[in-house]
Parts: sequence; C-alpha cells; structure tokens
Amino acid sequence: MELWNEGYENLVRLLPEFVADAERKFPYASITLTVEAALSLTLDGDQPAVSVPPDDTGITVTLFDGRCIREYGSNDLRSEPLTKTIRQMISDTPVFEPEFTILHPPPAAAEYSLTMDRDPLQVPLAEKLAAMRQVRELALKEELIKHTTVNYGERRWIKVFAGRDRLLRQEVSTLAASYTVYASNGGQTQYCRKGNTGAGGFELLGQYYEPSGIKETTDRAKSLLKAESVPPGYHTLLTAPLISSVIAHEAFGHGVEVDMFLKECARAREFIGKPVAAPIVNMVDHARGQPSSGFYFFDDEGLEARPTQIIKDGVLLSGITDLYSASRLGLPRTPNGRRESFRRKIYSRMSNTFIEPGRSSAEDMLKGIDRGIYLFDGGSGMEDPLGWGIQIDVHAGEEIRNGALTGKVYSPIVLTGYVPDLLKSISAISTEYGIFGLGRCGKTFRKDWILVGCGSPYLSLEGRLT
Amino acid sequence: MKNVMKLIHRQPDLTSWSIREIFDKEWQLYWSVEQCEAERYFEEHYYDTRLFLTNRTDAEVAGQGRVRFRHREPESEVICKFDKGVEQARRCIKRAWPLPVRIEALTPVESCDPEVIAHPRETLHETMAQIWAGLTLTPRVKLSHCEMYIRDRTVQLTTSTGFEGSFQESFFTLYLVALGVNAHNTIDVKVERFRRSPKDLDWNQLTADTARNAIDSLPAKLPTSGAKVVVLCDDVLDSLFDPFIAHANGKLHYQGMSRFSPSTSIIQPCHGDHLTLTSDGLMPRGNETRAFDEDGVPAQKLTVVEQGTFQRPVCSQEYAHFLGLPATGPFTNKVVAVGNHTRAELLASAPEVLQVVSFSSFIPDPYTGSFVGEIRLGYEWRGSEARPVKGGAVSGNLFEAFQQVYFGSNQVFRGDYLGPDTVRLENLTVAGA
Repeated sequence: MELWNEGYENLVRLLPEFVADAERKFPYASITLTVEAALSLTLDGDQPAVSVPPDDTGITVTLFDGRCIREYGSNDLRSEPLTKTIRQMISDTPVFEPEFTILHPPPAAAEYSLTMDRDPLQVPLAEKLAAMRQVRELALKEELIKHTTVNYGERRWIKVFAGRDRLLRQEVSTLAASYTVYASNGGQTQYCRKGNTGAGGFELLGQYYEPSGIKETTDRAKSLLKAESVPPGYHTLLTAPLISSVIAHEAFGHGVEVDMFLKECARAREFIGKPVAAPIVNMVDHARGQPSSGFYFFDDEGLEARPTQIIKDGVLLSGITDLYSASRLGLPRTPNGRRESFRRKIYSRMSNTFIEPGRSSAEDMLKGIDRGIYLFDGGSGMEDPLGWGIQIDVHAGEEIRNGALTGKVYSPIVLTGYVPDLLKSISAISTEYGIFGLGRCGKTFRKDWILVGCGSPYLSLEGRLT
Repeated sequence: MKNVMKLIHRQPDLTSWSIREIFDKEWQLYWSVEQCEAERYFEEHYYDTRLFLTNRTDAEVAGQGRVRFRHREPESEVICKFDKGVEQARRCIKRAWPLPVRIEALTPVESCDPEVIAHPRETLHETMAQIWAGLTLTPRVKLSHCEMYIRDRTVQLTTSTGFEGSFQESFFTLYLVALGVNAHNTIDVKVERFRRSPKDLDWNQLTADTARNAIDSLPAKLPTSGAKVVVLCDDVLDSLFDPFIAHANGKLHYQGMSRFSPSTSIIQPCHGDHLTLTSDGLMPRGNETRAFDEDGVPAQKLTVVEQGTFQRPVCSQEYAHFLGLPATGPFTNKVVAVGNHTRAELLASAPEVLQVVSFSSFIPDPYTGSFVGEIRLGYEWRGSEARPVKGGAVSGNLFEAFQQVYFGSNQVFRGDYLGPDTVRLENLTVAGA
C-alpha cells in the first residue's frame, strides 16, 4: 500500500503559499500535514482480531493572532475545500498588536526518512499472525500458563511542516509488540506482560517476540502466584533499566516541560542551575538519540531534533520547550513541541528521555546491597511537576539479601517519594543499559497521548515502597 | 459511503458487513493563568467498516476485517484500504457470530444537549468566565490553567442485516488546575469532568470545592502509617468499581477467567453492605448513554450484581452468541445502590478514619482487584477533628476490601456514575509517616 500519492503532493505545493498569505496579516503561521497508515492486531486466546486505531491523517493550520494561537484541524485533505477554509480563516480571524514575539526558526528545506530492513506495510498479514501464534504456543508449553493475549501494532507516518521559508518532510515507521501471559494454579490467577515499541521496520519483531523473553515472562507470571505484599517503608533498591526509565520519565521528564513553567505549575523553574540529583546523574532528551518510539527528525513545530541536556552532573540545566511557551517566557527553543494529532494542540513534550550510563556493573551493584529489593517488572507512573512527588507502579520485585536475589517475590509495589530525595539517593549507575519504547505518554490528566521512548541503566537508590 | 457500498457489492465472498459513519466537530478553549492561550476547532468525518467472510464449508467460523475510510477519500485509496480489509477477513479467522437484525423502533435516549452544540464557542467562554469568577472569590487561590472542549458527534450505523439507525451526542470535557498559594508553598489541585453538557455541573459547587481543596492542601502532611478504616469519595469513585465491571464482562466469562458465576455471591464472606451494580444505558445524559452500540445492540438497563449476588454478564453481540445469552452491549453507565449511612456517620464510625478525596492516580488492577494509590488530598479524622493529609499511599485489594464495605446514603451523579457519594472500607494499608 502506498502511503503517499499525487493528491498529497499537490496539496504540499500549496502549503508555502497558504503560510505566506497568512503571514501578510498574522505574525506567525504554519501548517502541518500528517498522512498515516496503522494496523493493530490482537490474538486473544486463539481468536485473532483487527482493531482500527485512530487515523491521525489530517491537517492543522496554526495562526498567532498577536495574543493567542488559533488552530483549525481536519481529516479532509481535498485541496479545494481546504483552500476555501484556510482563506476564510485568514479573513475572519482578527489580529492584534503582538503581546510577545514568536521565535521563527531559520529557513530550511529538507526531507528525512528512517531506514529499515523490512517495511511492515509490505509484510503479508499471514506472517504477522503466524509470529503472534508462535508466541502463544511457546507460552502455553509452560506449566500453569492458561491464557495469553498477544498484540502487534505498526504505524507509518509522513509529516510535512510548512512555516516561514521552511518546508520539511519526514517519514518514520514504528513497530509495537507485546504479550500478556496468565498463570493459574486453580486457586488464583496472576499475569505478566512484556512489550516494547521502537522506530524501525518489521525486523524489530524478532527482538520483541524473542523466545527467551517469553520464557522469562512466563516464569515471572508463575512466580507471582507466590507473591507477597511488600513490607511498607524505606528500602535500598536496585532498579532494572525498565523501572529506571520510568523514574527518569516521571521525575525529570514531565517535571521540566516548560509549558508547565508558564502555567506556574512546575517547581523546576526555580531550580535551573541548581543540584537536583546525585552528582553521578546525567539526563538527556533526544528524539534522534535512540531508535525508540519517541523518534522523529523534527518536532510538530518544524524544529530539527537535537539533544537537550536536562541534568548534567546532578545539576538541572534546561527544560524542554514548545514554541508558544518558549516565546512567551523568552527561553531557548528545544525540539519538543508535539501534538497527539490534528485533533489536539501542541505542548512541551518528551521524545526519548534517558539517564546516561554510569561506571558500575549491575552485578557489583547487586553484590553491594545487604538488604534490599530488586524492582524489575512493569512500571507506569504519575508525575507531579509542582509538588515533585512521584508515584511509580511496579508489577513485581524480588528480595535481596547479602548481595543476592532470594527468590521471594513481591507484588504489586508502588514507589513513592519526593523527586530530589529519590534522585539524590542514587549511589551507583550501571554501564549496562536498556532501551524501551514506553508506549504512549499522557499529558497531566492522562490525555493527549504521544509515543515516547526511554533508555536507562540499572540504578541503586533509596526509596519508599508500599 | 457510496464507494464503499459499491465495493462491498462487488465482493461476493463477503457474507456480512457494518458501516459506522462518524462525524465529529469539536471546539476547544485553552486558558493559561490570566490569558487565553489557544482556541481550536477540528472536524473529522470517517467510516469505520467491518467486513465478515463466512467459511463456505464451515459456518462456525468466519473472518473479520476492519478498515477506516475518510469521508470523500480518493477512490484509489478507498479501493486499496478495502482490499486490505478483505485480506484481513480472509486471514483473521475466528468463531462466527451474527450481526443483530433490524430493529423497528429504538428506545429514545437523551445523549445530546442541542443548545450547547448550537452555541459552542459562546458556551466555552461563558463557562470560563464562571470558573474565573468562582475561583477568584477565595483568597490564596488562583487559576493555573483550564482546558475545555465541546464535541458534537453524529453516528449512523448501517449493516448487511438491515439495521439502520443514527444518534447525536454532545460531550463536554473540563481539565482544570487551580493553585493554592501561601508564603512558603504553592500546591496544585486537578479537576477533570466529563459530561454531556456544562449545564450538568454545579459550577458554584465545583469552584468552591476546588478552592477549598487547594487551601486544605497547603498545610497537608503525610498520613500516619498502619492498617486503617478508609473512606473514599469524590474522584476516587470514578474507577473504584472497575474490577467488578471487568469480571462482569461476557468475554471474561467465555474465556473462563471471570471470578463471578451467576446466582453466586461475588464476595465471601460479606460482613458489610451488599453491592448492587447496574449498567444503565438509558440514563438521561449519562456519558455512556447511546441509542445502540457499535454492533447495533439497543441501549438497555441491566442489573449485573443484586445485593451481592452476580446475576449475569454484560455481553457484546459476539460474546452473547458464544455464551448463548441475549446481547446487552458493553457495560454503560454504572449505577450503584446507596447505603444507610451519611458521610458524616461513616467518618465518625471509628476512632480514626482516613478520608481520601483524590489519589495522584487510582487505577485498580481490573483483573486482580489490587490497588495502590498515592494520596493527593485526604483528611485524617479523629472524632470531629480533621487534619489534611497528602503523600503516602493506600493499598489493598478491592475484592477483599469489599468483604466489609459500607455505602453512603447520599446519591451523586458523576457523568457515568450514579451512586453513593461515600464508600467506607476497613483495614486498608496506609504507608505514610
């Protein structure tokens, strides 16, 4: 299936003209066109099903009227009605003396495309379903595994951004795969899930559906049948890269979204240039830094991806910005203006956010813990940019005694605390490193979902568990 | 739509199909501190199409494909997507089930406020003015940001089995963050509401409650640790019953994974109030009130748990067919029977009670019923004295905790919930100071 066609090409030719027309009246105008193809498959038990994810194919027209942003979005991409609507919008929208200056990036024209080995759109459906069935068969070979749910998702998108003297185009493919296995001993049932999302082609599926990962997941589900409640209180913790990633994302990912500075809703604003973590902690946001799910070549406001050093040697250096917030606050732009789709506005959002690797080995870090808990499975969280509280939901952890895992499993677990206390308690960071597509990340109220990624090492730290 | 129908009729393998045409128009207003940050409008028109292909030699199995076409999408793209859908139907073979047949008359339901969708922009600005006026009444409270959306949705369903129907929905969405400010601290309070119309909210009450929560959050401390009586109210009620709803789902029953069986008690032993839980798809202006579901199953009211005893699962057309039960559609608006005690009585019924108004996040595991939530705002009650608390966490398992549950006597409407305004649970673990 071809994603792009002559009709879209004709529309793109008109975009610079629309922007120029609008900027004769308004201080800022831009247009974003997205064309997308997505497929989502589920194998629930032995029953396959296709679901249709929201189609984000659409266009957004953005005007700055001197006071606020005015936008029109639509999934009707026919040139003629669109031309009429845009001209009407330019004519009907009043313009005011600008209250602040919008930062225009320098002129540019470029096309970007992510390379991949196998284009998912060209892979036969039968092959995708066969791979999913194989996961189920492998899982069901394990004793006590009674049920499985296997998911597969692919997304290919092309985005075109037209701004003042700026026309950019990018094409990216992401692949998501996950599975949940249910173990039952007759009396009770427990489950365990494994999944990942990455930027790339069908070749990623081999890693995501790896037999060793399936075995590990079934073993964990079975171990959860004997799980106990975690002793509430403060513990020495070793976090697996997945859990470290969620800590990075929730602690100083959401915490430095600069639109929240503008809304007086982020404490980080007062801490720029001050220590917020242990001196061994370095944290970066970079859309092109990893082939993870938050990958892009330029953000939804046409700014090319580049790394943003958020924390350097434990000191908070920078927030991540969108155009409106950076312009209003007079801060430098970072390529983090992102929107869910043409249905929603832009906010400051993360891309791929990661804690950089350290110098310790994970094995030595484990050996160095006399009494503690290894947090290894699951992981979702809730940010609190103003209060700097943190809540990380962990599906499972294991007891550590005298530098070794004991086999005693705890579930479920919640890690809570005050973000700087948690990050300042980090005493070791591993050289080993994991990259994760965390999946969809919501803004403030669990809404405006976008794909983000993360990569992190093992961390030794102190934290409060419930 | 005509292009899709033409393609369907050219494809003799297709045994049945459904086309759900959806047209959304949404107006959005974004307010940041004292300024309007953005105003947006979008529209989206598409056809969610399902294609079924019955095996000629085995009527027990069928393939199912699903594709989405944009309104007035170029014919070449429609053909390409349609072919994909047919390919899916050839490959995704599963147990067959029939679409519902034509229904002569659907029960009328109230899912739209025509006045609001006639004047959406004006309504958003008037509502913003009300919020602003309400919040600024209280010293030390200010607005951080507010987002509001009004959506006008039209749905039309046409199926190969002769079903034809349409309905209109209005949605109002509010995301509001207020700040409590004193010399030492700034604290945020988050409010989200989903209703059919802004008229379904008491704005004076909402802004007064938000301001009070902001002020109370300022001096809030960690709760004390221990096993406690916990009273849940307000936002917590929105997801409290999710594990019960999950286990009432026909799909889980078909898969043999539900913990509920018809005519048996869902909680044993039960020393407190017995749960009565109803799915009410006919509730006027309920968020989940729709004339029919995506298969064409008409809206209905169904009690799934009566006085603690499970009655029957809620079933989509598909799982109803597999289980040999009448189709009900999905669980819609939740109605929970009230109890006999006022909130004040429930708060005073033990020497020490923790009242939780909101968690940072409260998503009980729908399957196991386990939950942990970090307290966003609560109160520790000792007699008539209440101390605001924040931070720390409450954990437990809802299937165990409901062995001794007490429901408040006052009924509250929360969009897709009509039930007690207070729920009291015994012996939950509180981790705090």
